[in-house]
Amino acid sequence: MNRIIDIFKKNKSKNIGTFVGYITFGVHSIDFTLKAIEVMLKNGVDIIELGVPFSDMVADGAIIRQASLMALSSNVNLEKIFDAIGIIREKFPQNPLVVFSYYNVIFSYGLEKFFKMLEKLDLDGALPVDLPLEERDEILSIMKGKSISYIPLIAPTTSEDRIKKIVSGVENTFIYNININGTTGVRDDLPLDLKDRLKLIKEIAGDIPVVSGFGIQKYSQAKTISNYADGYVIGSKIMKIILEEDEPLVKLKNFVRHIKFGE
Amino acid sequence: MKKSHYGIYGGQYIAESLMMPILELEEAYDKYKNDKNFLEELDYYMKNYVGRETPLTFAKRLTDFLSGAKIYLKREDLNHTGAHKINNVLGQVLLAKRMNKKKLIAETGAGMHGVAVATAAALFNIECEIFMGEIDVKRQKANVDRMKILGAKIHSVSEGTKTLKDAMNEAMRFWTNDPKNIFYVIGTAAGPYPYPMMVQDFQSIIGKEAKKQILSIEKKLPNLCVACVGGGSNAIGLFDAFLGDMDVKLIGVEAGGKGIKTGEHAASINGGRLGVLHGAKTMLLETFDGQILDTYSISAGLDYPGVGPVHCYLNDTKRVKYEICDDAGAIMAFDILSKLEGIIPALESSHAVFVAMEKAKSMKKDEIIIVNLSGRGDKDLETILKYKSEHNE
Repeated sequence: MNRIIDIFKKNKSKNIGTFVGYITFGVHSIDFTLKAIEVMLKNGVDIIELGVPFSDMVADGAIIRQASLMALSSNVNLEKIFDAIGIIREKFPQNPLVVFSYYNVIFSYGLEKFFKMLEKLDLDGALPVDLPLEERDEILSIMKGKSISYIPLIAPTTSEDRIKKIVSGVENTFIYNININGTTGVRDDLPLDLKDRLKLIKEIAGDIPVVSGFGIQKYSQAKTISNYADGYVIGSKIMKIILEEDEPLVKLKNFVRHIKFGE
Repeated sequence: MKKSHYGIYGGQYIAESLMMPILELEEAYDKYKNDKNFLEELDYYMKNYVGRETPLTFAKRLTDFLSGAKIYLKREDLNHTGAHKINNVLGQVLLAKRMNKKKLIAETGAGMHGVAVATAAALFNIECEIFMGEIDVKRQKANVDRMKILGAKIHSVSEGTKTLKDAMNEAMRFWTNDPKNIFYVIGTAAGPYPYPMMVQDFQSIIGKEAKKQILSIEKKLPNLCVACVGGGSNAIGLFDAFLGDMDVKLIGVEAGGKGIKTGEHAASINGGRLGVLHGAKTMLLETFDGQILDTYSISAGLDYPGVGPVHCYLNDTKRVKYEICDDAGAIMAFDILSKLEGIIPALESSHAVFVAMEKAKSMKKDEIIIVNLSGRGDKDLETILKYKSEHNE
């Protein structure tokens, strides 16, 4: 069984996009994070990206950095995340849970130990944001034979030739396309040429599902992306709700349902 | 070993969003680094704009005072803009011009790299934005004013440590917004490949000149070369020419701040662990969870939690020894050099001067030390006066 493959297959048969939701682990508190993940999964998010806090997030916008620093101020680390995540795995046996992290945190923890823990906790994938094609072999060699998916990223500036290289050599996973030049964040408009870009990436990716993220905050945007890709990622908007709203879990529920069902 | 790596160090650990400009830079640098026209143009500006070559000054009174080895100072402080930074900046900006880049961005700590980039931006009529930590904006106000006069836009970075590391984070994020048009001029021998190599190449003129000069003056090679190490650009610049001369000892001096034991320092090689930051695998000051620590040094230019990968490699192979000088040592060297030689050194360079003084004492009178005087100390006067009033000097 591979949860990632299964969920994309299931959604494809229903002709809907797969919803990947990001949360910074430890935002407000670990308890809050677990509650928020439950809300997300119960109301339409398919895959959870567990964001590991880091002190120097070079690819992220202000919202996610703020959440990350908040988590770090209560010393959230990989050990605490691994200690806490079991309950989510138990309650949601079908939903893929993938770890989104800056490489230094994983590297510091120990690469062997990290992937062993992922396997032990039955987590599904890893997305090291600053480990490009040039350096990825140092984890791919360790991941070999383990049932953990490596999720590669593609940027608007990635050449066609490079996309081919990125896609080849990965399996049982999905590809994360970055919609825009810039850091994570909430944007009103997505680039006009996104459709063509997604068509190109889909064509190269073949059977491997493609999701697109960065800047998404509306049902219409998610819907449009779902017409050209297999799913979409929302992070900053979720974190903005969590950080700024008075009743974040209620607002989070409404937002997730709006994105998924247009409610 | 991959060409982008120095032993286990270096590499290109950067988000995919920035790989296009980095690969493009790699290609452009490969194309131009041996290009006759490019090298001639760089040489022209080095001579006629920067004022190279810089002198190798025999520090006679300092040598007499210590009654040990002869101390020579490689006078990078006499470069236009007051430090070695301009050597690398002109190289990178001439490259940026050939790559048709529309805007230069740079991080800066002490402000010397920022001033050098703002200067080159004015000279070549390119837009320029400089990222500087809020604390550094305050403690290096004179350099902030210089950058503004030169026409650069300053971003004061108030996140995290509010120093060099966070300035670099913000510059990288800004770069992601428009990687096609922005050229990121990194000021030190750190960052993703090809930066460490490129910065080393552009700074290697320091050692090349020093070697030629000492051979002409003393008819022999020095016994020891000393330079301060933050990211390590002036140090690798001096060391490069001597790496193959195994009889020449090389010492890099890290900032000991208030002492390694206090945790308030910036000595990545002596007090750090292996990690990945700003595009390279290198020695870092970080927690066991891989979170980057606040660093401290009285000198803003050394106040950085990482170090150029080449230095980690040279430390492993034992070709270069990395020692420490704390704030107090740097201040002492600053005072002594000012009073004995009439040269006010940058606080960064004062760290190297201190270690050179210590070594000279126990060396023979016919032995020779070259110290890289990487910059001048005008920018540090406020910091020095504040330190002295706090320490009742």
